Amino acid sequence: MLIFNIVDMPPLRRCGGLNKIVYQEVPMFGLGDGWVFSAYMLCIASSILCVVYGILKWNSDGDTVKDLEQEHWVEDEIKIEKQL
Amino acid sequence: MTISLVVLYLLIIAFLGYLGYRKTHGASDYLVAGRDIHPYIMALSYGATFISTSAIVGFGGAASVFGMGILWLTVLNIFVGIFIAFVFFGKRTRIMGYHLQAHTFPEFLGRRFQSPFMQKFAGMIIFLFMPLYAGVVLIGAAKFIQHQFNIDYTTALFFFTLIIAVYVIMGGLKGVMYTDAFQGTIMFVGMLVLLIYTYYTLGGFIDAHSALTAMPVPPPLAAKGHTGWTSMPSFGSEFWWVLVSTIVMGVGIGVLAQPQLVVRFMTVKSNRELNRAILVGGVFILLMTGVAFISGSLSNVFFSKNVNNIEFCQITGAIMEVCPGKKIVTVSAENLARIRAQHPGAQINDEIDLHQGRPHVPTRNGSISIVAAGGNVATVIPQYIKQSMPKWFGLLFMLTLLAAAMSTLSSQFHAMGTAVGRDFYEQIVKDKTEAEERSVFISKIGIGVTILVSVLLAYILPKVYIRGEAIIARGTAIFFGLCAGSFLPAYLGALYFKKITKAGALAGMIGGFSVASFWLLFVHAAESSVIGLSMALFGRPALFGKTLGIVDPMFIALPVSIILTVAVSLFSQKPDAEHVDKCFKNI
Repeated sequence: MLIFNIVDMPPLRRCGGLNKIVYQEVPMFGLGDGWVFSAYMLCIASSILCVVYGILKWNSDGDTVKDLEQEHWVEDEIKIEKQL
Repeated sequence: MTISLVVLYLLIIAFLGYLGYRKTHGASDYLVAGRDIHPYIMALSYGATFISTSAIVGFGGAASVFGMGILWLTVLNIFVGIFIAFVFFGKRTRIMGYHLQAHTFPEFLGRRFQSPFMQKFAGMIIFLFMPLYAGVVLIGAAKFIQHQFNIDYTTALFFFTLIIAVYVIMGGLKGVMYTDAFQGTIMFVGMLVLLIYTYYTLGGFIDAHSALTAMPVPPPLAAKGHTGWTSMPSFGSEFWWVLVSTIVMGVGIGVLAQPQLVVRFMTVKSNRELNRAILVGGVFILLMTGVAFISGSLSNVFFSKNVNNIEFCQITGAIMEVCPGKKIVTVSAENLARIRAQHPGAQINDEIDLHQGRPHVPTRNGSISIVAAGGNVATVIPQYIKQSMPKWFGLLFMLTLLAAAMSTLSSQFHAMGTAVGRDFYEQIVKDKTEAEERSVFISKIGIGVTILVSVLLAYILPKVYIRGEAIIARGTAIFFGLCAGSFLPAYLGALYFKKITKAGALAGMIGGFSVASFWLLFVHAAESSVIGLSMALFGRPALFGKTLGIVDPMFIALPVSIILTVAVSLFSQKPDAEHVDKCFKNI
C-alpha cells in the first residue's frame, strides 16, 4: 500500500530559490518492512474476524448442554467458591 | 487526591464483588445469572485475566527494544488467544468439563484421561511455577507505582501487595465477573487514551511511524541483529530468536494451555456466550497488547525528539533524575532503584561515581527509550507515561495497571490455591471425607504461600536482572512456554482425539515438562547462567553453545511432547470406550 506525503523542500539556491513541492512515497504507513506492516494489518484483521464471527454467531449455540451433570457441576462450583 | 482515587476505586470493586456474591446464592440463581450474564462481562472478564501489567509494562517495554515486530504477538494474542481459544478449545472444554465434573484445569485433564497422577502432576507444575508469572505481574505494577510517585521499588511493592492481599482475601476471586468487567472497562479506556495521545503527540499516524523508521540503530543493538524499530531483526540473529521463539511463539501459543484461563470457559452457561464474547475479546486484546506494543515502540521517537526538553546525561545515558549534574551523587531512597540498575548493591547514603571518572556532559538531544530509562526495560513505559502524558492520565493509567494486575493475580492465586488443595492434597489422602474438609484449609495455606513466594520473586528478580533483560516479558514467556510444552498436546488430545491414551498423554506431559526444565536449567543461557546449576555441574553457564542457547524452551519441548503423546498412544492400552463416549457427549 502506498501513501503519498507532501514534502516541502528547502529553497534550492542554484535554481533561483524556488520552493519546490515534491511527492514522497511513504510505503506501508511509514513502517520499515513488509513483515511488520503485515503484523500491523493482521492485528486489525484478526480483530475484525472476531467482530464478524461474534455478530454472525450472536444467537447460535444457546443451551446445548442442559442436564443433571450441569446442575451438579454448578452446585460443586458454588461450594468450592464459598469455601475459598 | 491520588490516594482518595485509589480508595474510591477499591470501594467500587468491593461493592461490585458484594453485588455479584449476593446474586449467586443457589445453583438455580447461578444458572440464571449465568444465562443472563452479558457477553461483554464474560469477554472483559477473560480479557482482564489474560492481560496483566506484564503485557502492558513488561512487553510494552520489550517493544521499545525490539520494535514493532512484536506486533506478531498481538496477532497471535487475538487469533490464537481469542479466536482459536474460544471457538476450538473453549466450547469443547465447557461441555466436557460438565461431563467430567471438573472444576480446575488439572482436574479436567486428570479425569479426562482417568489418571489421578496426571492431576497431581499438573497441579504441582502450576503450584511451583505460576508464582514466577505472578511475581513478574507484581514487578510490572510496582515499577509503575515507583516511578509515578517517586518512591522506592520495595515500598511500592509492599503497598501494592497489601492491596492485592486484601483483595484476594476479601473474596475477589473468579465467579464475580462484575469486578473483572469493571476493571476491564477501565483498562479499555486507559489504553484507548494512550493510543490516541501517543499518535497525537508524535504528529500523527504516518509521521510517527516514519520518524521511528528513520531512527538510526545504535551499534550495540545492531550487533545483535536489530535492523530498526519498524522492521524485523535479521533472520537467525540473537534478537530474532528472542523475539520470534520466546516472545511471539512462547507467549502467543502458550496462552492456549493457561490453567487460569481454561477454567473461565467452564463458567459460562452456553456456547452462545462464548460466541458473543469473541466479539468483545478481539477488540479488547487489540486495544491492550496492540496499544502497549505500538506505544512502547513509538516511545523511542518521543525520547529521541525529547519533546518535553528533558535534560539527559550523555555519560550515564539516563534521565536527569538519576544524574543531577554531578559526577558523585549521594544515593537517596528516591533514586535508589534507578542507580541500582547501573550500580548493583548501592545502599542509601552511598556516594556513587556515576561517570566513573568521566566529566558530566548534559544534553537535551534525546536518546532511545531504553537508554533514557537507565537501561531498564521495565522502566520504559512508566517513564514514557510520566514524561509524555498529562498528570491526570498518569492516575488513570495507574488504575488501568492496578485493574490489570488485580484481575490477573486473583485468578492466578485462585488457580495456585486449588492446585495444591484440590488437585494435589485431595488426591493423595485416602479418606475422601477428611480430604475434602482439609483441602479448603490447604488451599488457603497454598494461596498464602504462593503470594509470599511471588512477592519474594518480585523483590529478588529485579536485583538479579539489573540491565536490559526484559525480566517481566521473559518470566511470563517462561511460564507460558512451560505450560505449552507440558499441557498443550494432552489438552488438545483430550478435546479432539479419542484415541489418545492415558499413557500417551502422561508421556507427553512429563516429557515436555522435563525437556522444558532441562532447557531452562542447562541450555537457554538467559536463565541457565543466572540459575547457575549448569556452571556448578559442568563448569559452563550454558551447554551446547550460543546458537542453541537462544532458542526458547517451548520450541523444543512442544514438538517433543507432541511426538511422545502420539507415539506412546499408538502402542499403549486403548482408553475405555464408554468413558470416552461420555466425555464427547453433546460435542
